[in-house]
Amino acid sequence: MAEREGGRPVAGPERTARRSGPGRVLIAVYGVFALAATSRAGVQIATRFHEAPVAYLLSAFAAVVYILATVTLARSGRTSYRVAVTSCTIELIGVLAVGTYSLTDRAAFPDATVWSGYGSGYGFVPLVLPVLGLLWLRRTAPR
Amino acid sequence: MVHALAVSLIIGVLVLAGLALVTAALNRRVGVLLLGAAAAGEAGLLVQVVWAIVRLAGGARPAGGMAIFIGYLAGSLVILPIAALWGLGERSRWGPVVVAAGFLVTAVLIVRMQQVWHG
Repeated sequence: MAEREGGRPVAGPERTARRSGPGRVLIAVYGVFALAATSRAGVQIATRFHEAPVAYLLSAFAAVVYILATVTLARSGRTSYRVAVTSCTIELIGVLAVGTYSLTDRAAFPDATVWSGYGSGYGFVPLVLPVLGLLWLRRTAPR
Repeated sequence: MVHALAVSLIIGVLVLAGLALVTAALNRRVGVLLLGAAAAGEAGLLVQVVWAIVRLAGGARPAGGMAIFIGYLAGSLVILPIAALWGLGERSRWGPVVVAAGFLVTAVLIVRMQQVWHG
């Protein structure tokens, strides 16, 4: 088996580090959540938006953050790095804020979003993911 | 939805996830074995999709909603091929970990599909 993928020149360690090794798994899990959050928000907004517009818009916002994080973690470059850090930070704040809010005011979230109950509907992965993402970004920070 | 098929599929993909994790523990990359495992898992999911189409054509309806069920059905088919390709591109033990994650996500999707079918 070829060591180099697709005959492309091998980039420097700093350029490839983010999407290789553990980062590869991280991006895969982010991709799954981008897909899950997008589908969920899509169904919520298409079928029963009037029931809880704020919760469903938050759902859509979460989907956008996951998509951004997935793409910018997978791409190289400083701009992508900054956007990835920002998305992971927003994601962490989001899951903590929505998680707390959904526990104190259950009526506002008749149907769980990805971040409700700190992501309890998704095995708390939404809570762990931004922490792992930020740790990984710190390890692979461009100098 | 036929319960026995779903249970067999869940056990099957969990075993294949274990196989992928063992491959990672042995410090191997994604090879023919894991690509074959992903193909086998995908074949099982295709059987489930065909079965669901037959049941839906016969007038049966998922209690949890048609749109959500179709979403899970379609989603179940895209996970393993993408996980296999993404894992194949990683030339280290983390490739098999990606494939293992794909199998685990597939198991969750089958469980959710059952829940949506039965309401």
